[in-house]
Amino acid sequence: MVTIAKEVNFSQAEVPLKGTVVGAGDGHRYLPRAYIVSARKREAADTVTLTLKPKDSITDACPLPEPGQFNMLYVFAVGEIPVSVCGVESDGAFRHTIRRVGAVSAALCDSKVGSTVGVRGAYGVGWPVARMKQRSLIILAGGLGLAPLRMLILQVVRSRVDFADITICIGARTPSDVPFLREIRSWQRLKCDAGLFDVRLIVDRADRDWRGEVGVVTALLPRSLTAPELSLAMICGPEVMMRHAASGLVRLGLSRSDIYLSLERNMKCAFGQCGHCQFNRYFVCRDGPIFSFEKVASLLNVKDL
Amino acid sequence: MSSASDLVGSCFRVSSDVLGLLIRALKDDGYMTIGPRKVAESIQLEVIDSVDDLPRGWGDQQDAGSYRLVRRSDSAYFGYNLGADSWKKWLDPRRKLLWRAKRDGESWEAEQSQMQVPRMAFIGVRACELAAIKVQLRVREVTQAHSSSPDAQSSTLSAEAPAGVPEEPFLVGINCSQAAATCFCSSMHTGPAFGSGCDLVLTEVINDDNHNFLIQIRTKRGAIISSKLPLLPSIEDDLAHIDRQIARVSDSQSRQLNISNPAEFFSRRLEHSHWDDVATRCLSCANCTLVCPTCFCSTVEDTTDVKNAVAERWLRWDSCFHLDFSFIHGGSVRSSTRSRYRQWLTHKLGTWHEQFGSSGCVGCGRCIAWCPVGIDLTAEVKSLSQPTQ
Repeated sequence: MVTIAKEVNFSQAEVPLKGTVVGAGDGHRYLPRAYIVSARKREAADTVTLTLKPKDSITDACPLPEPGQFNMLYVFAVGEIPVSVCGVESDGAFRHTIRRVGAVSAALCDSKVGSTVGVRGAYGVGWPVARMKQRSLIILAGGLGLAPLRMLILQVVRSRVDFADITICIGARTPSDVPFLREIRSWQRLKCDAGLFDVRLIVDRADRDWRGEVGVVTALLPRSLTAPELSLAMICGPEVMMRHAASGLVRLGLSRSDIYLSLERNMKCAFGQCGHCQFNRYFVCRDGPIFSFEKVASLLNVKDL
Repeated sequence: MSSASDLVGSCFRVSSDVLGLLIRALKDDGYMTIGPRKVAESIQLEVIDSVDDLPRGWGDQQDAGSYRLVRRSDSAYFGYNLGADSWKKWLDPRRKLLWRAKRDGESWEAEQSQMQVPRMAFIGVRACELAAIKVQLRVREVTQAHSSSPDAQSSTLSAEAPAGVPEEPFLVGINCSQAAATCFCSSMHTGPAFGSGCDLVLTEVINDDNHNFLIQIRTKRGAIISSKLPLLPSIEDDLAHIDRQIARVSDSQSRQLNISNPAEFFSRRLEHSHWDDVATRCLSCANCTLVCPTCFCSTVEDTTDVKNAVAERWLRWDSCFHLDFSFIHGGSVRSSTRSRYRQWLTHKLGTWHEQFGSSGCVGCGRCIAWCPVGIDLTAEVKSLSQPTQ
């Protein structure tokens, strides 16, 4: 009989390391689905809205996005970028409004009707739709920041009676940079019995024909609020504008947890794995892009975070 | 006679020749055996065919910004500490094909690449490296759990998961016989004693003319492989020897990293003046992230053939030290070295806890040795603990 020295305890119970090959089989998560450009509309000098329909069948389509979510759009042999969804058509087609700022966005802007664009999504956390009912809404958009808010505004217009006062403030650099101008004008003409429905437009620099207001979008914020505790604010635009707007709303009496803003960061995977979009403890693609001001206020004050 | 599973939890003594038999047994069982090799002037983790490939008689001397192989006075197989390579190289390949798309006129179709993963056996895993493998797995688990939960509203729900999850690698651990000057696993509680997860744990014992290994069998899989080896019973003192060795290695570590509430520690120091000081030394070269066994950031590369008919997407390692890592139109979010070093250290030691429930650092010290200017994160944390200047 051989005596074998027996260990009495390991530092931890033995647990098998399941699925240890970390990088195996990632392909499917990055696989774009083929969509056809079914319409292309020029919004401004450098901005285009594409309507994208699933190429094969609706069963092969990406899930329908919620307002504020985004898709990853891929152009063959050029690359892929995150783009917010600005609308979903009744037939399940997506609308994306894109400004020409880099190689991929330029290729998207130039894509012809009938061409194929890759789509994967929908990603991220959208606007707090569930918290909006019966509340007064303040919606603030700077430039193309209106795109991720458009779907939300359309929902609000459709079920107007569900909300109290509605204030929409839209800013753009020049009159020719205002996206969705015809739609904005139609919102401004909406008649409303229940509460305020105020759609305001402002430009940084006017041209000869501009008869509206001139200045920064935060100048459109209400001077005071009757019931700030019942208000909810949604902001999208340049980070510096959102910071000022959110601080202004806090001064008007809104709670930081009732102010939401949409952050933009570099994204490669869109599901919290590549690390590019990290904003301190958050992955913007997964934990955002919509954040409550309460979560990010202190972080937004740190330069180059 | 006892069955293989009875061996689990036992410790045996084998002569050093048995190491070759172990490699053979693993290969016969269909494993691709991967272990340390002396390549040029460093130890790298490569495919090994036999015991002859191991860096016998080589050790290393490491310090901040310095790594040198040195001849040992004995013929230890595992007498080195750690090289720049980590097992990440095999678990999360540097570059891999995600999908390939073929163009047909205006239209195209993308097809997922099928990645063949061999059955791998890792020979010579250190305790800190096992801890790093577990951190990597945890990162993966959290990411996947998030993207498959209904609230996450991700499209991966309907995408098909890859068939055939590869078998986890067979892990042969090796107890460290000394610590490098850069080691601080003891203060990170990731070593020098092994946590769970290895199939076998070896301890190399060299006394005068005797060159033996103690072999601790920790899993059934480890027991089945070991049952093919000529095992000798260990004696009571063998286990005590292992404990003494671990205690000695632990005590000899001079570097330490102790932060009591890491997330809070860094969130209170985002504007600390010491970040400017590090930025005067840091070259933003990304060496620390590439040698780090847990850094997981990646990027995608879209490529095309000359006829523009076939496009591919590749995934490759990336680093938060690269200027374009945080690029959005108009410029990079983290345009300064100060902000990039702060991002790396804050994430590795602080926000990692909030994201993945542990530190991202296992105390292997690679980032200290392979930093070309010898930046030492344990020293930087000490400086950050001082009041801002």
